[in-house]
Amino acid sequence: MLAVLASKLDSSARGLVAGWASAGAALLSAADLTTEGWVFHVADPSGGTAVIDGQRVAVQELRAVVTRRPAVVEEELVWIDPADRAYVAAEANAFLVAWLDAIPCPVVNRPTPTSLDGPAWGQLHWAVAAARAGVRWTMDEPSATHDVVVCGEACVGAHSPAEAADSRALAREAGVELLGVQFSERGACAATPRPGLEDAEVRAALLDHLLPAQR
Amino acid sequence: MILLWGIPGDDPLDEVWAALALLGADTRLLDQRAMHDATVEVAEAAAAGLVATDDGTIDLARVGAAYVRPQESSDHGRLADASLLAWADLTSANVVNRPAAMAANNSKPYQLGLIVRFGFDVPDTLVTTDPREARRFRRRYGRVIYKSVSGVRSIVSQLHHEQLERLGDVANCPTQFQQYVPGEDVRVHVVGEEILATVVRSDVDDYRYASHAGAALELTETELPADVADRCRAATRGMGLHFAGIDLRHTPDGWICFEVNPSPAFTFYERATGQPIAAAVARLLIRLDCTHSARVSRGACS
Repeated sequence: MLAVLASKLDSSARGLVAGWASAGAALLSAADLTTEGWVFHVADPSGGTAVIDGQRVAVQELRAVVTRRPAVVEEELVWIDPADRAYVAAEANAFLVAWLDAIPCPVVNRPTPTSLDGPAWGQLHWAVAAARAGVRWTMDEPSATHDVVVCGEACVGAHSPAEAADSRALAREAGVELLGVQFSERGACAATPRPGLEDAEVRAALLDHLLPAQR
Repeated sequence: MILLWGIPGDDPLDEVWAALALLGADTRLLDQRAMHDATVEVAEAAAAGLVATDDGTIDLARVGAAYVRPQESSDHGRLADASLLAWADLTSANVVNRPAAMAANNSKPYQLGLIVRFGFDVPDTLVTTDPREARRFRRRYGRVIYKSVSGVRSIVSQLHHEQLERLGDVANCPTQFQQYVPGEDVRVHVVGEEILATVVRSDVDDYRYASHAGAALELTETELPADVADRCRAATRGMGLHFAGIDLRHTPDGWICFEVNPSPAFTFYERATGQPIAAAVARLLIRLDCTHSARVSRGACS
């Protein structure tokens, strides 16, 4: 099974799951986190179970997880008593950070303590990361002309080898395998660990990165 | 310059502020409630900027060390707080402690995974939404405690018979259970390389709430074996922290580590034992300010 951690309202994630049906993709939603069946022993992460699309799944059956959300928010936990929603959301997020960090299968992106799908960086952080990586970065009125998506070593959408190299350098600096970078005529101007995955070439590159034997 | 950021009235902040004043350090207290605006920008791969307050403007480029204990943002202060938090992560100044490093404490099982890398044993820990698994875990250890997974403060409690009837509720929320480890609690404050350890004796499961339960509580200064002290220093340093409060339990079989608190409320221990923790933090900040200035000017730190 290949799990996509996302909101049920995320149409892009739902499209990804449908597109990867033959690879056994399924949506891991907030509802799953409040369903009986999760077992996570800190000392033995691979021996536990998860709940994905309502079904209990052994962690060892998971081939990969794609994370598509920074956090579970209390507003979506409408089946939980309103007085408990904030607490349940905090606990679910804290649990997911530990679980996604520890499970043995590929997870793209691995969480950080502040976000489930990579670093929770604003423009300042990205600008500093770019400076440290030697990437030309523009913060003033960026008008993006095109997007580049890094999937491991693959890079989709770059207009030049230099853009591909810059995008990979930013991904390394951020410690992520999946990264979207926006370029303007003056260089990189925005980045996100949650790029759009509607493009067939991007999906294929990501699947190839997650499950090299699949293609 | 040393910057203190938080809300006056917060005991640790007040104590460090007073200790710095006694030492005559160049210090500026930034009252979180008095911040109007924070403008942070990137310069030479680090953050710099200005903070406007009721008392004037603070040039963040002058800061060599900072002690940050921000409280929850007010609605009108949210943007300024976010900018200053970003600065605290990105500045070349030494920050006690950087927000990104402190965040590991927001997930206790995640942090346990880090703690074991520094040679500490940790209690066997289960997070589950499965009541049967929780019952199995309790049968295995006999005595089990439960507490929050996240940084949300909760009272550490033993799972007694009366709670077993409500165990079905765990299906609604991932819940953390740990084997109960008998032994003596030791709180270790690591301040740079300095170690200040305190033995805590109490009959309740969570000694922080002993007075609420009407239980006795005794705190005594102690000294750690050198190898345990070294592990505490290594864990603090390895987690990117300058200052931490580490919760250990000394058992007949060794030392168990429960948690590394990156923003410890150390005054609870200081007042009970007289251990000079605030003074140690103040000295650390002065040293860190000096090393930053030396790095910037390429001079020596006296």
